[in-house]
Amino acid sequence: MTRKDKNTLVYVPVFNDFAVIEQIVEDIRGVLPSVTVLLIDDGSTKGPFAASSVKNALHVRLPSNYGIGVCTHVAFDHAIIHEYDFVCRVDADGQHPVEHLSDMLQILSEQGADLVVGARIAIGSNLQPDPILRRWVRAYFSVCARLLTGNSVLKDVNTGFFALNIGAVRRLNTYQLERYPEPQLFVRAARIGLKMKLHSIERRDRLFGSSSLGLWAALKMVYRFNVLVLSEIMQRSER
Amino acid sequence: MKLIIIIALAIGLLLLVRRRLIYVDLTFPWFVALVVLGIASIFEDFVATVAGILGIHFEPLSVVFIAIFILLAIITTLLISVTAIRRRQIDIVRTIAMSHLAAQERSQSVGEDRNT
Repeated sequence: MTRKDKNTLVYVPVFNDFAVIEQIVEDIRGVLPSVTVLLIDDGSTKGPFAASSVKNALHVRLPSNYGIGVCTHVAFDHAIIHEYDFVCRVDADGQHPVEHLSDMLQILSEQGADLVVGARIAIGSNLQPDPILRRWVRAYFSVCARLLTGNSVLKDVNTGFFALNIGAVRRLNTYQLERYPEPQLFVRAARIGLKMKLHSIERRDRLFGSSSLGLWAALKMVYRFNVLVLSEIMQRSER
Repeated sequence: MKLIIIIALAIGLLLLVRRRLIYVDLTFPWFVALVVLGIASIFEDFVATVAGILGIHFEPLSVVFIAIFILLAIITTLLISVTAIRRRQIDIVRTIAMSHLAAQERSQSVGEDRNT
């Protein structure tokens, strides 16, 4: 058991995707045996999800679906109150290669980074290709984020796989995070001068479920991102 | 007659508040709207003045613009109120989640202490 593991909180937002959650918790524990895993059930409607039945994990159920932003706030609040040193996020659909968590924590602790972004790259030909619209939207987000912040780390601003230290958690927790908060989180982090590092991870297909992002939600996400970009442009850098 | 209609609307609003069907703070934009409508109905010149300012040749048409303006003002005020309510609700949810997790964290640390 290392001190680094012991003081790390890994949170997993869950919304109706319970099929592989025990496997994911096991995988995390296989890589980092001493971390605290926090399952946040974001008001799942299919269920009931017995989060309490998952061994070796803290769990909390929100009374209704508030989105990943609120889940992130819950995890951040918990990390601040209980004085964790590092916080990581992993999705509940098995898309994220959790074996990279130890590398990401190492970058945080040894290279002095505040935030490590797990940017997805496609390796291998067995992957299902992303729909073209999703690729365009991602590319648009990435270009805007990099132009806005001048930070080349922001290649994948939609990834939900990241790790950050408690200083970054404290600073980012002061902002009201949106339903899909990743672009907001990374752009804010770059704007307030947090030291960000990119860690490439192989993109995987989901083990379970499908994206909660339909056409309407995607349109809203693009709208929200544009509002974010405009408000950031209007706001002077807070560095 | 116009004034009676405005007074009737005001009484209706008051009854809704009294029966606690509408939260009193949220009725303020409605109250302002009634005052504006009252002025518009009592003073004939008001409509003509608004038409003059907006460059509307057919003066009664300015009433439509006033109504649209009032509606937008009410919608905006309500959106602000709903946003504030949602923010407070999220704060409460976060607080409840913290108390749930604190209990689990305590029991976990007690278990760890026992094991060591």
